[in-house]
Amino acid sequence: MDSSFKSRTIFSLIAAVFLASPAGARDLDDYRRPMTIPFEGVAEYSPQSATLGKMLFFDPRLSGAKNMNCATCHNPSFGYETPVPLAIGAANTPLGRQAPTVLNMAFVSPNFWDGRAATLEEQAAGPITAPVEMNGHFDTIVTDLNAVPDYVSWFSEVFPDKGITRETILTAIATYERTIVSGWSPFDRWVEGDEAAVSDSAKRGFDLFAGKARCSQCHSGWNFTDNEFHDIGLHSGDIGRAALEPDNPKALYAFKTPGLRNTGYRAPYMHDGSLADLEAVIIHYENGFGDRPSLSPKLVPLRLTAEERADLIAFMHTLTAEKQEASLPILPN
Amino acid sequence: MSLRSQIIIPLIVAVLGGVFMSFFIAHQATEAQERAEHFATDAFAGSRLAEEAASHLAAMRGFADQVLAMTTFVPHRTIEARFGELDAAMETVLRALDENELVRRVDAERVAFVEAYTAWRASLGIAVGLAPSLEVPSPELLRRQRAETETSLEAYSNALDAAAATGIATTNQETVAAIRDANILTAVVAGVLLCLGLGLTHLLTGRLKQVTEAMRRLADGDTDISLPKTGRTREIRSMVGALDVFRTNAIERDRLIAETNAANDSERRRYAMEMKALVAGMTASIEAALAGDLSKRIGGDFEARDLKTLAGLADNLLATIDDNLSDVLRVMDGLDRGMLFERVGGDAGGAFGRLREATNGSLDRLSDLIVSIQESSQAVAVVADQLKGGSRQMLARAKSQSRSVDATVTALGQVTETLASAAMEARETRSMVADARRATERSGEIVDDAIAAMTRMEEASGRIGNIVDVIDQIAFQTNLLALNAGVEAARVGDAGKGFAVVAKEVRELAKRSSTAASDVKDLIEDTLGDIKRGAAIVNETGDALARLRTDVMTIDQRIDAVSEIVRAQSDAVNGVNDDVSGIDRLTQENSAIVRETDGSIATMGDCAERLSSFVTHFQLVRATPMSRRAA
Repeated sequence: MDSSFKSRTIFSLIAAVFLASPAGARDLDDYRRPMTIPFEGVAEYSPQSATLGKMLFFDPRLSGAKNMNCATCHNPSFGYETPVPLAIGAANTPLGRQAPTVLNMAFVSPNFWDGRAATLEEQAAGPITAPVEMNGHFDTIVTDLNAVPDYVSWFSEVFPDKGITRETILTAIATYERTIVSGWSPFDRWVEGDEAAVSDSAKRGFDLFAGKARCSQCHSGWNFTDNEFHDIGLHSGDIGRAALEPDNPKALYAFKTPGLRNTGYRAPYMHDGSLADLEAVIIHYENGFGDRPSLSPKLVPLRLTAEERADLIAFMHTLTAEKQEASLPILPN
Repeated sequence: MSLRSQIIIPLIVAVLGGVFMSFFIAHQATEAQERAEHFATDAFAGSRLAEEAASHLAAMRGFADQVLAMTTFVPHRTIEARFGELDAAMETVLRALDENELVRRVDAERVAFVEAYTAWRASLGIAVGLAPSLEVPSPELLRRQRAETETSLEAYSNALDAAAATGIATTNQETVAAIRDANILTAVVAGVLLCLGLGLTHLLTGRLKQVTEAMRRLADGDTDISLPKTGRTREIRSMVGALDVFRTNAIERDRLIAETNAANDSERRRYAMEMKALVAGMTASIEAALAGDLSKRIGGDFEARDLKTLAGLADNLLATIDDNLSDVLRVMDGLDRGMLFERVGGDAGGAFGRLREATNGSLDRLSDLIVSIQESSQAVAVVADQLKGGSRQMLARAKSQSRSVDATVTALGQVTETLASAAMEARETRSMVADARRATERSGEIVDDAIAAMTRMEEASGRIGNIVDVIDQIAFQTNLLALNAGVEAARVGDAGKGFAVVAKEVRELAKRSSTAASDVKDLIEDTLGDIKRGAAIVNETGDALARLRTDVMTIDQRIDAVSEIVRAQSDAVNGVNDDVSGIDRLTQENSAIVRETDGSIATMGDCAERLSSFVTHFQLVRATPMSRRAA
């Protein structure tokens, strides 16, 4: 027993040196956050436009039955998601996919799980009007909002020649959504050099994340997404990206990589919400996927120990912002 | 010049110098005060401006927070107006700060603050929509720039305070130096004045001393004195004049004094002769008394009554001393022979009375002492007997204690053996666990091999499928060819009939080949399904083995812990063993001590006996043979 124990210790030491030395400052630099939010090529930022958008985001008058708002499914208290496998909309039935987060959307494009919307404006139109989601109608919405004098005066200030229209409503919402960035997390402080910001377990978890477990193959950069589409072997029957790229064999069952900021309170996971917690997600990536032609070649079976899983989860919790900055707007009546 | 003016003039000079110096020092102090006040004013103004800046910054931050919370709609013109006010206020403060003289001493801090403020203000401008930009600052950036601005403002304000403090301190040091210089100058001037004063005093006292000396000699009766020099001082001149008058009077008085003397002396001579005889007699008898002979007396007849009385008294004294000493000697002689019942008699008072009381008292106390020594020595003998019994018992108990300790040592030996065998068990269990772990690791490898075998089977099945597809294809084409052959045979009529039959047979064969191929295909698909299920089971087995290995490792760790506990117990038992050995040694030492005590007690008994026999030497009652006290 001693000899095998010894040899294993030596092996793990060598492995640690091999894996740990490149996972030092160099790797961390790739995860340094930007200090500004890009507004290039999109509607111009103004606090008034964003404020209007925030009001609309929380305004139930955008739904058909005036009983739902965007935050119903993109709830700031759940990382701008909703804690059910599949969001439940106006028809009181589960939707086809889990509600994706609104966090850091200024850095993400295209939108939706299958990327069918090129811009946030385009995306916002979808759920508002879909019968199973908010079941709204823009004619009614414009009429209803025009009955609120404050909205009329504010829209005319922000959009002088247009006033309240489908386009200006969507622009305001998209502008607000671009200002939603996840707060600074312990991981960010670690990246900036504070060694005490995260636990040793979380540091080992990061080494696994960027090394052996290969998570960073797709969950890359400070927002932990490559903005690409991958089939990760889930059996929901949803063809995903293939609806937009029928000729691309790798688009079948493929979905957009979600960012991992605040992921600790964005359960359940995956596009179909089929995995209840982070441990289930890790086990899925170990060997839970079958083989099929569309499966992403980046997926390779691996085996992790219970400690390694715990380390990975500890690391992912360091991505949770230390402060929740969302405040609720006062809506005009 | 008068004595008064000689004293007053230097005094006036000294007072004037002192007043001048104090004016000079006061002037220095006032000037320093003014400079310090200047610094303090600047520092106060600076810190007031810094406070003002901080309040503007807080207002700016509060307003920006309100806009960026996006909870209410704040129109663009409102933002513009509010920022316009705040910018103007800040501008005023910054300009006022630039004009503050003290600020020039802390330029680094000023620049740092202005830079931080400018950067924050620029980001705020973008965030609140006053300056359009494609890069909108994140809340984190605004927070950091704001913190930097506040920190640098605080540093600026602190630096201002520090500069003021330094300025005031420097001024104070300069002032202290100037005052010190003035003090040194004053000290020098005072020294010179003091020397002058001392010289003058010396001159005056010299003159006065000459006059006094002449007066003293005159008082002693020496009229032959010369008059001292008068000098220029008016008061000394009048003193010398008076001295001259005194001298003349003294010479007159000496000439008048000269006559008074006469006397008688025959009776005085006779008295002296008798006195001489008395002295000789007293000397002889006192010398004899000093040599121990108290019997010699003066005797003789004296005419002078007082001398006669004195000789009688001296003889009486010698007789009294002789009587009293004899009685004391008699008693002491008895004591020497052990007779404690003798006492000094008589009723003389004074020193003789005290001698009698002291001698008799000492004898009484000695008698009491002897009685109590007799009683005590008997009591000691009794106690020594009792102690002897006790120490015997103690010795017996120490022996039995030693036997108990031996038994404890034996029992502890058994416990140690038990622990050793427990440790042995733990080691054996560990090696068994190690075997179990190697077995699970080996099983893991077997599972991997099984998975590889499954994969190979899957590939082989795929290849078989491909071959079957080829066979199916061939059957299909054969079928087509046979169909064509049939058609061709029909076309040549009867001659082709036989060939048509053959073609039909070939078609049948082709169909059967196709059916067989499809059966094989189904079989392969079933097999593939089985292989996949098998692979799943093998995977599960692999997971189970991994868990088993974790469990085995846990057991291994637990056994380590048990071993550790057994070792700790063993150590503890060894410690107890050491303690018991210590008790054993102590018991033996106790026995030795008890034996020594026994010896000491015997010695004590002997001593008591000897003491008792020694005391019998003394007779406490006058000797009649029947009343002797038993020892």
